[in-house]
Amino acid sequence: MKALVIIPAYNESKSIINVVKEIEKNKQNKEYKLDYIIINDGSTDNTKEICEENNFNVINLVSNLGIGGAVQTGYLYALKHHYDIAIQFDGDGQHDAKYIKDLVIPIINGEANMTIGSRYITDLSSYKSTIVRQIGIKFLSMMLTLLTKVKILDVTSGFRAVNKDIIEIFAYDYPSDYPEPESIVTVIKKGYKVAEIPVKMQERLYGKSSITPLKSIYYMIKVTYAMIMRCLIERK
Amino acid sequence: MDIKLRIFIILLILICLFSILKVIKLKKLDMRYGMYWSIIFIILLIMIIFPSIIENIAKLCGFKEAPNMLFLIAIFILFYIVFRIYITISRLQEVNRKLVQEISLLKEEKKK
Repeated sequence: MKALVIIPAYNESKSIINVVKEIEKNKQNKEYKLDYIIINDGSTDNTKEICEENNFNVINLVSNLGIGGAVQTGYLYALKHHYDIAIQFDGDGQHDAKYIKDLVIPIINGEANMTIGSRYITDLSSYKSTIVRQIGIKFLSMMLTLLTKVKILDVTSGFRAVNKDIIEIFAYDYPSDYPEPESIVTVIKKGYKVAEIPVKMQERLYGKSSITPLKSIYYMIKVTYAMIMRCLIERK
Repeated sequence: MDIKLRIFIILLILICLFSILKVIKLKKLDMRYGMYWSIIFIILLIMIIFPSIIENIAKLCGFKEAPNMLFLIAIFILFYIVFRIYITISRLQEVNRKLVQEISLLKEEKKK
């Protein structure tokens, strides 16, 4: 089994070295072979130079595509190089590479086709985001249950793993902005099994969240709309 | 407003909403733009079903007739949409230029 960690990075020069170091540290195991690819989404800082200096495995996008386009590039790479499993992992140091194994093993064992690293499923994580954001996530989680009858708590988590079939789906069609909840609906509607795995997340050390308070209302409307549309258009 | 006319307009709006769904499904329209158009049509739908809402707002804003306000709003929205399209086209031009340059440079490198 070959697994690929996809690391989308936009202006992450301060954290990217640490992220790669953590992944390298958690590479050893018998069940699968782990590689990584950094997708530098047209960063305006020296992310590109740092990756090249350290000989990291990196794809530099010619122009900024946004999170969806960057992650999809990773899925295209995974498809091209015949990876069996792809893991999404943020470049800002929020995620803990220790849990990559927890996400991958259920997919290898066939217990799920997609696994989502969740902050809410148990009390592993001290960092749970702000109250307002938690209410937003709760609402989106309820929407998901309403639309698909599947219960997933941390719908906005960007720490996820998928199998080969879903790599192919995402390589062909992946939302351009705020992709996480929408793509979960797609996967479920296509008849795949999604499981939530408890993980620990840290508060990001550098850089801001991509969602400012002003954008949050737009975010909620867009994501809700996209989830309903996905529910209407996706078939097995 | 005449009830027959209202039903006709409601049907028209529903057809528009269904068309949006279809073009999104065929991947001909981005979800984001689909959302903008859907919101416009849903607001129209609400106004047709409850015409008293616009009449009251028009009165509040000092319009003599409610349709005057609607025309004004419609023109502004259309202007705004065209403006946004121009911004998007400009961005696409920029990206397109970069892509052509990048690929040409790559081909040149490969030749050597």
